[in-house]
Amino acid sequence: MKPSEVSMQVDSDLLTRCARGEDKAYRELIGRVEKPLVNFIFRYVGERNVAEDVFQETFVRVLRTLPEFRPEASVVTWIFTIARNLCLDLAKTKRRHREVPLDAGAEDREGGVLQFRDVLRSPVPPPEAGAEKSEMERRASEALTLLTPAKREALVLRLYADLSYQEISKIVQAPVGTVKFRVHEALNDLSRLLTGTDRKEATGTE
Amino acid sequence: MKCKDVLDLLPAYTLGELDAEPRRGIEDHLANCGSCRDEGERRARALSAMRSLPALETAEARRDRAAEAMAREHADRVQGILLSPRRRRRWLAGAAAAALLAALVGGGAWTWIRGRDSCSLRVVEVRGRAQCFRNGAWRPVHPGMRIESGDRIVTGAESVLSAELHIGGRAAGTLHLNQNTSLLVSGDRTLDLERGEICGAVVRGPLHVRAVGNDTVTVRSGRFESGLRETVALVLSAVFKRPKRPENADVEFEDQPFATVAREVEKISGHSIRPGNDSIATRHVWFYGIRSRKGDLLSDFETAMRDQGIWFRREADVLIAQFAVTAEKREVMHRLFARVTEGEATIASTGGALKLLAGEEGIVQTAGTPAKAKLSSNETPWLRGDYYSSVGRRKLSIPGTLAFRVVRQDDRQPPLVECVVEGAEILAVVDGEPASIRVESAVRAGEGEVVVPVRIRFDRRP
Repeated sequence: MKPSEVSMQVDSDLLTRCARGEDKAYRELIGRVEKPLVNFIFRYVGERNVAEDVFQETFVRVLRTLPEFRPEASVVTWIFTIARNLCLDLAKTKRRHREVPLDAGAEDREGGVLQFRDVLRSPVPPPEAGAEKSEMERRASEALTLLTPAKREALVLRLYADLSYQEISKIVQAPVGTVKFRVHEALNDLSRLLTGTDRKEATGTE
Repeated sequence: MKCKDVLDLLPAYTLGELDAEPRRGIEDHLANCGSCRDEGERRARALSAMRSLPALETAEARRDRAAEAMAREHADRVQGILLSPRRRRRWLAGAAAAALLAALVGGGAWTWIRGRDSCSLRVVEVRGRAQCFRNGAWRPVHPGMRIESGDRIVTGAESVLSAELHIGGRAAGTLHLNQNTSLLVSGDRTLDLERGEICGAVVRGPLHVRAVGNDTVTVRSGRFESGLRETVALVLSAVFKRPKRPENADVEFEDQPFATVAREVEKISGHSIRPGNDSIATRHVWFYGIRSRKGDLLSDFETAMRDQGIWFRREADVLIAQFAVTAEKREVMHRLFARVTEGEATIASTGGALKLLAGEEGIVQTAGTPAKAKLSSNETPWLRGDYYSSVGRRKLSIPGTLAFRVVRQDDRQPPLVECVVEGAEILAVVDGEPASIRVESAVRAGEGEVVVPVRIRFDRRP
């Protein structure tokens, strides 16, 4: 069962209530996409603390861009699109300030994406129990960060948000075929990264 | 099937995306080709490694943080609309111009439609950009356009719109939409204000305006404004330092009033509440979303709190209740309390001015004992104070510090209301520091429209 089929049904009535500022509606909306969304962000950005902040910022943006939302569009893909754009912004900032690790003081990142300043400076949940991660897990999550962003986002949306190719295609604004290709390539890359085989060997024909 | 084709299809095969036929083809090939089998196993291992990465579980704290962030965003947005002087001027200018226009074209221009109680609008003027959502599509709004029941009308930034209001096909008044407003024209004499602000005048009511949080303002005749109730939230957030997210979301209140309030809130509403920033020796509790159609929950809550000596500021049909407690005095500074005891809620606080419409009962208290007023005339007595004042770098808007009571009342004539504004002390912040405010004038007013000029002095607290 895909989350998008049942738990993520979001009606426009709910959005209307969100626009009115109803706390209950906020919680309802958040609750409906929480798990796939936070896991998508987490696997995309790779750091849990950052993921929590992006998650929160996503809903702020949801509210901010609510007037532009077309009722005929899917709320779920819209929310994921917002989250994905935030992840992209973050990646850009990170690239621009490569020398400064993301978890360094926000003061160090003059000129960064301003909206993220408060977010990143804000209190974060305790660090995950990373110490007892198995070797395989560590390597797997590392391998994920080595994929190209396009492949990573496609794979992550497929595996961790459990979205359909059609939905992913809307979120990343690429044709379904391209998305499929990226997911498949991502899996090929991962199998190479995780078993340490050279690409030429892997693609050699009989 | 050749190895090349198999390798191309392996990811899809591993992900279980293939139909039966190609799947069988691959399986046959893998059974006979060791090198492809290795490749297949490696992809399967990679996938299972990915799938075994631990997922983040759902977490109440995460949802809380996101919902709070949304609530802050909402308050910020409203604050932007109301407190930005430029925008505000534009709104007023737009509304005035629109009112004039409506007056000029009024009368002969009304058109009549059928339908007993349905609302419709005829657009008179659009300044800027406005769109109407009808039958699943957005279309631009132009003067002369008719907005029917079921349509949603939305104004953009820096855009205002004026329309004639029709109820049951008869001209029933005028309506102005401020910028960034979304209004759903419902049937049954109802307008749903989903966002933004509207104002207007009703000549043939009743008209129900459902604003934020489903609370309804019913207007039989006369001027009305709606959507401004959010003012309360933002006025307070301007007066008091805006609460920052606490360092630790689960911080416990040590102050007794807060502990009591928090417990009661949770008991009654199921909402947990958070402390705000206490850097100005004040703590705030922000209730977003404690509401009920007729304020039942809040009534219970208020009663419970009043027994504890804590008074609340709230509006009639309950959207947001807020209060502040000084750390030293442990006493609620804001003591404005209004309630509608019968009928539909038609009491609203608008940007520091308090207005009471006929047929309502209100209690407004500043310091001292609560005063009670029931206005039963058909006139619309207005109590309005102009509290805008420029202090330091911040424009402050101070919500009502009025006490009023009925001096004379009998059934045959309008009541005489005495309005007292003196010695009221409310908490304010000037440039981030606590400041005291004293209201210096006291006015005794009579029948009809009551205008209360107030001079307010601001002193930095030592």
